[in-house]
Amino acid sequence: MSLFKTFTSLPVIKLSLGLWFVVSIIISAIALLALQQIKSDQVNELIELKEELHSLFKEEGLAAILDEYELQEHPVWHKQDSDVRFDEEDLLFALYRNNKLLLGSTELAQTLTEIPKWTVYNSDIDTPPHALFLHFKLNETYAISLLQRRDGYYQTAKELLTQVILWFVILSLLPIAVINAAITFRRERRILGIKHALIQVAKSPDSERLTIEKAESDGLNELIISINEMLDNIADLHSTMKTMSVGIAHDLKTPLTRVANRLHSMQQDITSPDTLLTHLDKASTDLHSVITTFNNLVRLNAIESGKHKQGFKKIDISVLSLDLAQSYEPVFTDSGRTFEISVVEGVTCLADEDLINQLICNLLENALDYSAPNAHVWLRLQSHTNGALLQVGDNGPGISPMDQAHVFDKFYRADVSRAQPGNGLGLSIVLAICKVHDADIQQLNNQKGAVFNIELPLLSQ
Amino acid sequence: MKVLVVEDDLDTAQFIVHGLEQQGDVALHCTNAEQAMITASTQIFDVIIFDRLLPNMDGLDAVRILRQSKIKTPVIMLTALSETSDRVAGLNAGADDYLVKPFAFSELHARLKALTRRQPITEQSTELSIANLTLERTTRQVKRDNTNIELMPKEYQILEYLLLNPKQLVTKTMLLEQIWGFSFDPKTSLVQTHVSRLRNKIDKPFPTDLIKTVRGCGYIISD
Repeated sequence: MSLFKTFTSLPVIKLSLGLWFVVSIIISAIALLALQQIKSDQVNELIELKEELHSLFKEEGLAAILDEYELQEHPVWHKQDSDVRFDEEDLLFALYRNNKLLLGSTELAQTLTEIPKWTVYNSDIDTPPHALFLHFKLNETYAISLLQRRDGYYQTAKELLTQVILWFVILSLLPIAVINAAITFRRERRILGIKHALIQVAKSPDSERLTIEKAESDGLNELIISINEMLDNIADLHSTMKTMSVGIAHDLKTPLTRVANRLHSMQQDITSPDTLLTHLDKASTDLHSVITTFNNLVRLNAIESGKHKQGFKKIDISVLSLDLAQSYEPVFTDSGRTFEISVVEGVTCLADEDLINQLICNLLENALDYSAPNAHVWLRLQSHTNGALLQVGDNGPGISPMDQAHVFDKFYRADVSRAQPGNGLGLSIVLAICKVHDADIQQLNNQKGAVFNIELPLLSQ
Repeated sequence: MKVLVVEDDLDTAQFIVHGLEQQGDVALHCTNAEQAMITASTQIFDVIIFDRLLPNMDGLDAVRILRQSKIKTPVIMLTALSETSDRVAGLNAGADDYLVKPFAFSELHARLKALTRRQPITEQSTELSIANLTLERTTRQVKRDNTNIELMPKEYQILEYLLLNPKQLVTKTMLLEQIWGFSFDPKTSLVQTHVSRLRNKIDKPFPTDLIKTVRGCGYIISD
């Protein structure tokens, strides 16, 4: 059924099928009208005959009518005679006087009809029964019944027209089938073309894309657009994966190499326990950073899976952010920075408390890692249309325009040497947390430093 | 300390058992939940270490069964899942603490100590003290050598937690969990900063330091 739908939804096929249907109806209608015409001609003829009989009766009397219908010789036609006459398409005639049959066929009715009526004649011979009947009065005494078989021409015409229509249907279906075959062939060819193009795309997925043929309107263009969009997404994912793998490899390689070196040094310093302890300490720190990287990856994955949504509660984000900010205040102060907290009371939102904790922590730590040693850092929270607006910012040096597009990328580090501690996952986790909460995060442009604005919806859907 | 270690991974189990023996503790190892439940109900242990992912049985269910059969031995669950909801599920099942793999042995040991020492110091006791330092929990007053010391809320909470676990290692992770309610590890020195401020107030003005740092692990409060 759906295949049929697809077939009929093709514009060309739709058009030709529609046209074919309309032409068929027109031809059938013309044929019907022609047949109707034949019938009404016969009716008119009978009316004319009636007029003739009237005038004949008036001018020449009853005898003229009897002459006309040779009724002197065979005054009464019984059933058999009537049947034969009917079969031979002769007019059946009956003359009545005072409602009693005087002459003519015994088989006719005496129902008064103003205009000829179509009726059925029950003949014993195998004859088409359709006939035209007329009964009228000549004067007070005499009345006449007439019965005429339906014109033989009608039958022939009917058969002919049926044949014509049948042939038309058969013959006109042929070109439609041809058109259909041609379209199907074209589609097949197009699909085959797309298939070959896809093989080419697979060879260089970052540059090659399917081309859209504007002239075609067969619905395949939309498919091509979707495929291209999908390819773009996959290419993006692919490049993210690449960055991630390089990031993971690099972030693991450095500490692991250092641990290997430490182990080597330990072999050399095996006799001095104090040096050994230092080596162990350093090795342990390095390994800890590897574990942290993995923990963050696992955590990021868990956040992105969205399973935290079940644990959303209405939380007082004012209390939460004030508490966190106050916890971080000494950390900023000790590092030589100034920290300003400006939190409006009573702002609530539907969120996972643990995730919001991490969101704020990561933003504050980002400021701690990347702002100037004497920078001014701030955290502000206000209520906003339909939600909470959280801002964490610093006054310099900020993020270079080149890096701005990538700050949320996994393992992206503005510092290419990766000499600074950290693993480039902090802001990716921030972004993932925002997504889970349907929150909007923006890094403000034209600022001296890095300023992040987060709009948390009051009630997330 | 007599410890039952329920862990199907032999390397991890050996790491724990070896570590415990080094500390002078007694450790018994089971590889599956059924064996563990029989052992736990026939012998007396100070603490049970229960892996969450065991063959044939979820560690959570095993702990639930233990609790239903009135075995109140403290249980610490080990798991690869670090989400708060998992932690809550573990605690609801009757576990007393929850530790995410991989962990440092010092972290595990500190938590075991905290669990086994919980009984003598009741959580309800209103006054906590060590040497000449006292903390009044009802008035939130802290005194050392009869000198009043003003503490910030977080500093007070840290001191309170240290005093609830005197002479034991309290790790950075434990403090993050207990004081801040974090299930993640912020990379900054949040804990160090607050502990160092606390020290400036309770230790610096006095001849002896009560809070000692265990490098790379955490802190111990002792006289």
